[in-house]
Amino acid sequence: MAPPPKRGRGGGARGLEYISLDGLRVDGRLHTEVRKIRCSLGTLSRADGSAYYEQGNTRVLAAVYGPREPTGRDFEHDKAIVKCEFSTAMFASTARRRTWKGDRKSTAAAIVVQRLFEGVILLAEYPRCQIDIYVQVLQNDGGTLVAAVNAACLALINAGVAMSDYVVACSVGYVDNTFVADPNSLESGSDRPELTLAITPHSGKICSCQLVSKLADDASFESAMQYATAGAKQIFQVLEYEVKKYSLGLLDSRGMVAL
Amino acid sequence: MQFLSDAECEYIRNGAKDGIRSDGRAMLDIRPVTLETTVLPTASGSARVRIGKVTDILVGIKPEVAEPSQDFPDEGIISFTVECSSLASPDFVGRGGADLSAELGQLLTRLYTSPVTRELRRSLSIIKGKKCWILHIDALVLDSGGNLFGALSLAVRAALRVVILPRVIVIPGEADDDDEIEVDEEEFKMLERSRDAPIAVTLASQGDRGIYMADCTSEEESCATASITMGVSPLGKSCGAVSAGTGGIDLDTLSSMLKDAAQLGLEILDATDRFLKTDIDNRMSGAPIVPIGFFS
Amino acid sequence: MPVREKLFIRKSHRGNVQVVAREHYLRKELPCGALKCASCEKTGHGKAQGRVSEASVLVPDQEAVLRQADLIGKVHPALSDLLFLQSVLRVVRSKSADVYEQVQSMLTTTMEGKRAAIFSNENREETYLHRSHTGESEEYYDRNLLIAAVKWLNQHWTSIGMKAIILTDSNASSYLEEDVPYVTVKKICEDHHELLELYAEHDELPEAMDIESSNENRSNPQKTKRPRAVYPDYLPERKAKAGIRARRYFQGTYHPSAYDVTEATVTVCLEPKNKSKRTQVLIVGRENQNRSIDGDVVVIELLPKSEWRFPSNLAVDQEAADIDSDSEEAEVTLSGSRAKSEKLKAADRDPSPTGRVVAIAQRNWRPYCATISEKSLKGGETALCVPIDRSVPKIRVRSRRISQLIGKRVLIIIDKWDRTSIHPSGHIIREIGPSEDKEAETEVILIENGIPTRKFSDAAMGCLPVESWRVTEEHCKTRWDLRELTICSVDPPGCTDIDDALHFRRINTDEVEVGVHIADVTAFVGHGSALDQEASERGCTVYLVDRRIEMLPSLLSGNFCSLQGGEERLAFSAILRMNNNGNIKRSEFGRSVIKSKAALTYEMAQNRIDEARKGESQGKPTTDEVTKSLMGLAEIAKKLRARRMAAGALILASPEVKFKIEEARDEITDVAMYQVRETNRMVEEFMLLANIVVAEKMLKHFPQCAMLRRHPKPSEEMFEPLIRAAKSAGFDLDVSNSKRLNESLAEIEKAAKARGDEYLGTLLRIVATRSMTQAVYFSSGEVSDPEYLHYGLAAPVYTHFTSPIRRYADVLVHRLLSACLGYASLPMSLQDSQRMNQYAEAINQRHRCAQYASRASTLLHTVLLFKRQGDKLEEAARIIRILGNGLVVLVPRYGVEGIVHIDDDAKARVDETGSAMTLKDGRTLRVLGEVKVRIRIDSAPERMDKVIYELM
Repeated sequence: MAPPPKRGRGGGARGLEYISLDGLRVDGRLHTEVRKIRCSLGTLSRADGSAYYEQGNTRVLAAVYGPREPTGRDFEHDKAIVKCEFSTAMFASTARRRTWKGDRKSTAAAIVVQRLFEGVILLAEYPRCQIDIYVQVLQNDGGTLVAAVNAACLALINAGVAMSDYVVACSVGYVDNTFVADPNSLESGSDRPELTLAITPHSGKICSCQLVSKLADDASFESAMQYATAGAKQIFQVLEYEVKKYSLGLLDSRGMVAL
Repeated sequence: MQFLSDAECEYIRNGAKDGIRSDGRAMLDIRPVTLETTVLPTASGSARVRIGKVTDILVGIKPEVAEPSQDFPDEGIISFTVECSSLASPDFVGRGGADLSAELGQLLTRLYTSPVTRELRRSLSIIKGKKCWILHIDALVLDSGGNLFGALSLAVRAALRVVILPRVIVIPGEADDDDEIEVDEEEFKMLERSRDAPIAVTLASQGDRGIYMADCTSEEESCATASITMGVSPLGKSCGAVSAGTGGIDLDTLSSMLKDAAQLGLEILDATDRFLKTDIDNRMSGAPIVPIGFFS
Repeated sequence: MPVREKLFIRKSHRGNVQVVAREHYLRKELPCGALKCASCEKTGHGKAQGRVSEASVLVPDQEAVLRQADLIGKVHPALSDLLFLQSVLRVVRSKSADVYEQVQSMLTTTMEGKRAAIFSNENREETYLHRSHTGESEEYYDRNLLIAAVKWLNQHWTSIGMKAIILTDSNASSYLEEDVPYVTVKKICEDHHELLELYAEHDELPEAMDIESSNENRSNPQKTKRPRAVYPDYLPERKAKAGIRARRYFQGTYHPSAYDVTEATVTVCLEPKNKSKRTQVLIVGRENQNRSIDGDVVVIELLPKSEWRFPSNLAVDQEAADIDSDSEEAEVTLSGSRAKSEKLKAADRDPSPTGRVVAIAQRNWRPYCATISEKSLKGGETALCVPIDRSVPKIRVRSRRISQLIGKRVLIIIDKWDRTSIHPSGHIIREIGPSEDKEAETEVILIENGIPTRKFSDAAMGCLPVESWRVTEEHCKTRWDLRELTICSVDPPGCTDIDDALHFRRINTDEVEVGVHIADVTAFVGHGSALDQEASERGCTVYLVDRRIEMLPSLLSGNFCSLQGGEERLAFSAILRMNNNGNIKRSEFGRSVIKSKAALTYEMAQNRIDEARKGESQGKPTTDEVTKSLMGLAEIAKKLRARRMAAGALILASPEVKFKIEEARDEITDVAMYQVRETNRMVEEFMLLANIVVAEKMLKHFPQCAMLRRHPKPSEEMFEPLIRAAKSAGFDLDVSNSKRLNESLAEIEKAAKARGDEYLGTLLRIVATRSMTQAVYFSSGEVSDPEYLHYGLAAPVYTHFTSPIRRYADVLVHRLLSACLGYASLPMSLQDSQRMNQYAEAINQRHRCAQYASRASTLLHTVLLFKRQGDKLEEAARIIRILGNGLVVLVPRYGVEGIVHIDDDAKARVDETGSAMTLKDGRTLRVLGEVKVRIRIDSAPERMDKVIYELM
């Protein structure tokens, strides 16, 4: 006869407490708060447009080359084509891992970025042209796709590419039965659902919605979307402020306005 | 890379003859260097170097415990990977930057296998012949505007100067068991002998006897006829000199170049070490780091 | 919001090091926890919304919480206002999940006379400290955080006249140095003596005493002589870990043997290459066991091969093994008898490895029920407590009320076990009641088996429908309306939680329709609700002799979910269309509304069938619809059963008996055998059938996460004792497959009956049942297809669907089935196979506990019955196992089993196969043989009454 199972006193709790008794997340944020965002435009010298974007410990650089003559054989007579490359530095994550350019995850992310901006860039303005967007992840603490989209948006603005609207992305994670805006790498695991949403903030339209794993029902999907939209709006304010600041700086440097 | 027309080359060469460079520098002047350490919290050591707001290098170091090589049982391992980001140039898209990456990685490896770094490598040993640190030094070229190798070596050295390693306790094994190591989760230490790390100084000859320049821009590089790269460490010793290019260098010029390179290298080392002092102290005490990063 | 970077080192899976950087946000106005504070946020963001309001607030440090959780949790004026710091809770959570849970419930529930609040000091800008990584220890950092927080709080609270005081249970010198107000737990206990018995002793002496003793040392050197160490020291953690890596030491969970407490086993993996291969290592003797208690995760070292030995086949209980310091003789005799038994071992087996405990990786102590031993009381305030669990050693406790507690059951927590002390020491957390009192003893049984005795929480009760809830027209529109069908239920008498009901309808001459209607519990218990949470923790309804502890509140289990006769109820129906032979042609599942026409007992149903049959044989056709339906069901059931038997289903048996309870006196007057009627079998058949079809349906839709039940095929080895037992009775048993086993058991039963032995067949079936492992729940994704098999039922897939009122597994199956049918999407946590398997494991665990509890309750009542029947109870018993120093016997009449000790004086020898024992007086006792035993009750207040069996 096996001994009856017992409730032991010893032993610490396993795993993380994602939401504390005081309602704080592991890094001290509330469930609706996105991480600290900092960004700057025109970071690189050689690119036509570039931007640096950091969302907490996730840091990316984006560069835009073009609109320019197509480098390859494909082009369109009546509009520009968009190409995108997404790569991650080897030291980007806690564990050093060799990720080659063009691995499956990077390619997938590149396609998402490409499709997104094909939708907002006024492609017809640039017939027979190519616009290259390069995203380099310097540090990954979760939400690299979000950071890539936001950085690319800034880089395109920096490059002066005509767009119908901003594109702002935000992700939503699900831990301890609650949704959390902008999960960091601790909060986003492979076994948990995560929704990445990109919107055009002025028109309020959803341009992309990536769902990893699955959500229980429609109600929770809607609530996840609300979190993501609210998060994206927080991010948009930062981006808009930064773009305005940058533009004013440019005007100032040309003596067109006095700051 | 950049291709210049003959006229442009001629312009640069003629200027060099008169000791004038297109950006107004003297022949051995270097452009302003921006050096910043501990830019990446997830790396044990990191640095970013920008030269003249054009060349831009980011270096991150991740340590791992490994077995030392058979040939050098009492030394740790320093391994380099250089990657040219497509941000720097559309030429680097896909496998485009692979050749340049390999060349730069090779140069760094050569720089760090020279005898002046032996003590540095020895300080990475944990148990002779059994356990040592391997430092994975990964460099990313974000923007290129000449003197890539100089910037790279500077960034690697700066990252090494601020790298932190967990303290390791060796537990002597009982009887016939091997010694065990235990990583202290609370204490970090800085790398001993990181001061020994060399930098590389490249001088490029512009065809004529006795005419050479330091810290070339990419335009200047593309019309240089030959160049020497010299490793300079605070121990004063030159380590590994490389010559490259289409033309040759005569002996007098070469010896003068070597002398100037060593001199210039020491000056740069001195300046950077003075500059890095606060960074190193902060790193030691674990004071909060507020990187200026990409906002400068 | 300012951000800080937190750096620390983490070891990766491959033993490598990683520097981890995490962001850490600092906030400005997080609540400080004081009710009156005007400058901080009014409401917090989380579950803990309590606020402190008294002028002086205690801020416990981590030692105080970890060691004195029971005391701190006490409602007492001296401990009325507590403020828990986030930094303290972080440490507490990492050290003890249980204590953390205790604090959590303190913080989230409101209690009269107790206020507890949380202060997130690490995320508040003013109280955050940066941690340098130059070798500063974690403890030092945590202590500084605490000091900084309390200092700031005192400054912050001056205007509202409040004061924060550190409550500590360790060396307070750093608080003294830093000049922060503090008070020791000890001091509070000294001021309030009633708290003293909750005080948990620990190793560190309070500082004041340290100084005293050092003074004493100087003046009186003799007193400094340390007490003699009884046990070897534990290895330091680092050394133990290094040893485990070097495969010099091994880690496993410690379990004392059920029969012999001087012997314990630790199951470890000795071969690194073959991870699945586990070896049982014997830990023999007090010194080798080195203060381990059942459930502890221990680090062991193997002893040299020369000391390896066979597991004991002696019966030794704690009393015999417990060696008080002055009775070392006992040990000598014990090892003496062991030495003798060694020689009896069969030579064809290898000895088991033995080992000794060198370190404890994790204690797994729980609260233990115990009784204070009167013998051990020598004046003063300390005494030894004898735990009910025989594998747990006696525990030394201290209480001012100790003399009042003699003979009472108390709940004890072990605080520490020093190497200088033979017994562990602990403190009493609660008095349960007098021993031999039925109420108290039942509570003991429940606690010892971890069965929750608390009421349903308010939140769970809040999920219930209103009392006036009725089936509405809306229900009938969205569900199958089956109210017109002749549905009836058949259950044991007195059953109030009717899970299932049946109907039968003839479609045409070739086809019939059988409906199995199961209470639709999931209509009331939503996934993830507080009620669901509570039900899943309970796992199943626990049936004791005189009560039941329900999984669902009685409003549901006894009313809205129960398919009572004449009431409209919600059901989950399986409608099976089959031919006259019981072959299923079509099966349909759906939510329905039913109205049971009659709730019958097995007996009533049987009588109806019997009478109707009699009537029909006399040419009187049956007119009653319910009876007609029952007859149809009985016919089909017979065919189903025959087919199942042909497929190789086993008929199993248990020795359980039924108590006859005299309601008026609440007393058990007698026992009787369970009577199995045709109707019992009929209901069983349809439940099995429904379970199988549901299992198939579920597996088809969710091949990765279906909750199934399997019964592993026993190995040949497991049957060995059974074959040997049968052989000694003169029969050969074929165990090659379940069908052959069943047939040969039936043959033996028949042959034995011919010999006049009515019970032998049942006895063999009991032994056979025990040879097999128990059936368990599992998630289909975790096990490969062939292992889905339910051996006992000879079903390739099986599940539990038919009793959702009393089993949580069935609730999950209902949810899965609803998802199959598209009624609702499957909750996320049920889609993951591993998660589902965790549910399954937890339910298995709860089921086992429930089973142990109900057995213990039966035993308790049997003992009460024996006591009333007096001393002179003599009964026939059957031998089921022969030990080196006794017999394990089963008394069929009472369904009890126990050990008959046989002294060396009386025993001549045990034969080699262990299936017969010859006594000095010439008698030979064989396994399965009958003996007469005298039964008497040995009462001692410090333990549960023991049934003593003596050979006549």
